[in-house]
Amino acid sequence: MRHRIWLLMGVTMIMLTFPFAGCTGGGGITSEEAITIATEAVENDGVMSLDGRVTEIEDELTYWHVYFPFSSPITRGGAPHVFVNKTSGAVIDLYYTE
Amino acid sequence: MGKGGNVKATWKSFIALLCVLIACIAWSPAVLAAPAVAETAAGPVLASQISPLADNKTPEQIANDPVVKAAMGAAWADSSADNATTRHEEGGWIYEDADGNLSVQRWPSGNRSSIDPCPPTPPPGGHVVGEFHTHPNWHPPDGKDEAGKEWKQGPSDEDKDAKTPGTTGIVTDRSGNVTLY
Repeated sequence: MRHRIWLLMGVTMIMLTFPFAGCTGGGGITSEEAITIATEAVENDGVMSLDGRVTEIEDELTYWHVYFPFSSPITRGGAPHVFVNKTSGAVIDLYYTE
Repeated sequence: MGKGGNVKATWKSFIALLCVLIACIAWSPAVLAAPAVAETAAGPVLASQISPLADNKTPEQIANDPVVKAAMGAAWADSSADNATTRHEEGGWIYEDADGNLSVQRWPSGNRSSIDPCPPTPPPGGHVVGEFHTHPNWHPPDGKDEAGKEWKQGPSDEDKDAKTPGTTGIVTDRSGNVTLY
């Protein structure tokens, strides 16, 4: 009997986890798509090069926050920050730190 | 759980505690013997080279020191902040010598919104107490530059992360603000 309960719990956990595996955040834009949109936005803006940078993404309630800090830990400097609407994929904000 | 189960659980706890004890004994000499290091511009630097403000200089005192203020002023002028094409970051290390006097070593010029420090070379008996750099892009009142690009005043998270722990960070911008971090 006990193993059935564990089996049921395992299946439930997998079912709960699976829909979020693609990190859609419940909206239409996946994290991968958000990174692509943000990368294009920064490249088109032409203010900062993405060379020597890493990609970070944070899951906010209604938008993705994508930013590109330097990979070098000694560099003092800023990064492009892009906010991508989770539903429409629109860039709702793009700013730079220094 | 029966009596046998309790005995088994007790043995497991005893063995776990024994493992923790052995690990502590094995690691403590190595940890105590290792010199404390911190990451700086040129990689690890001995903690003895970094001042934890041992001479009671506050960040404000460092920022208001005449030598430091003059160096920050020169760095700002060198940043060409008013030129949208050539503006760039400048900065430097702040050292304190054995007598408590501050001095500055400028870094090589940076790029529009970043700068890489040179390895610190404090004076004999001295140490790093801080660093400063310029932020020439942020424009008051809303941060937008001539091209309408939006900048945040900073210091950035990267600035804070890269700073040597226990030292003072100073950022100057075109509004005349001196931000300590």
